[in-house]
Amino acid sequence: MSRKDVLLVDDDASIREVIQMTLEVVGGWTVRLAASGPEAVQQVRERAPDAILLDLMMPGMDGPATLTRLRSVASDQNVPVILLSAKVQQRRDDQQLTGLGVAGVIAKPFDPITLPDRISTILGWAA
Amino acid sequence: MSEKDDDVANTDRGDPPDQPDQPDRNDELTAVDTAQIFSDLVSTDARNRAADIADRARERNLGRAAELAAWVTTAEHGSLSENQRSEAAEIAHQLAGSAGTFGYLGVTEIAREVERLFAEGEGHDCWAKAGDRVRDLVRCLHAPPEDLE
Repeated sequence: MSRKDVLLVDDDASIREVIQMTLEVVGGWTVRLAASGPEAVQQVRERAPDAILLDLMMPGMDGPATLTRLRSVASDQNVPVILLSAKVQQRRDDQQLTGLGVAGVIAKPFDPITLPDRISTILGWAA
Repeated sequence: MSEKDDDVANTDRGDPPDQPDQPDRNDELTAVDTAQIFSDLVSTDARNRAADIADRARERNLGRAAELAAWVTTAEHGSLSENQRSEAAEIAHQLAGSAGTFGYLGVTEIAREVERLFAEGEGHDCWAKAGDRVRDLVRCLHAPPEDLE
């Protein structure tokens, strides 16, 4: 099986770093980084990843706006998106976010060491 | 979004107090010492990288706490516009999301409270409470992250 290619979109540099390290070291995946929605759209235009991890709350183009823009890029039509959100405190919120057409939602803060497993479970990727 | 890292040097570095009440543990909120979690799994290089990332995150979060303290001072001397409230609440939100990921679960809980105060609060008592909680944030960030249990 080819190495998974994941695009991580988050404006927090420390979060980007720790997720990248975990997914590369523990998950064995390739991780590309984007610090903003526009950066993410550009990267997807260049090459569609196997999955996108998308922060919900970012300055400027936030997660939902980025998701809408990403879905307009032909190469992203079927790429699964997982939202990262510090706002998921209630199941109602979780359902609202899932209603955006995302594969799943992972709440912040999260345990970095279990993140690859959680992503694999959501996306149905074999361990 | 701005991160006033320079302000970090001005924060109180007294002896760390006890951590505040800790939240219940569940799947979405698990204490993590980022350096420790890699220690039994990966190379020394990876451990060092993890420790560096955690250190930088802590410094960024101290900078965010300093920004929040400045917003509290502004609020205490007048009123905040809606944009200012939103900016302050967003900083608290970012702090909540980051700190817990690096093992500071108590900070996450306090930052969420501060976020609510900036989003909804009003009046002298509100800003006095916000000031107390921001000082708690700084003290907690100067303490070690919580142990994995």
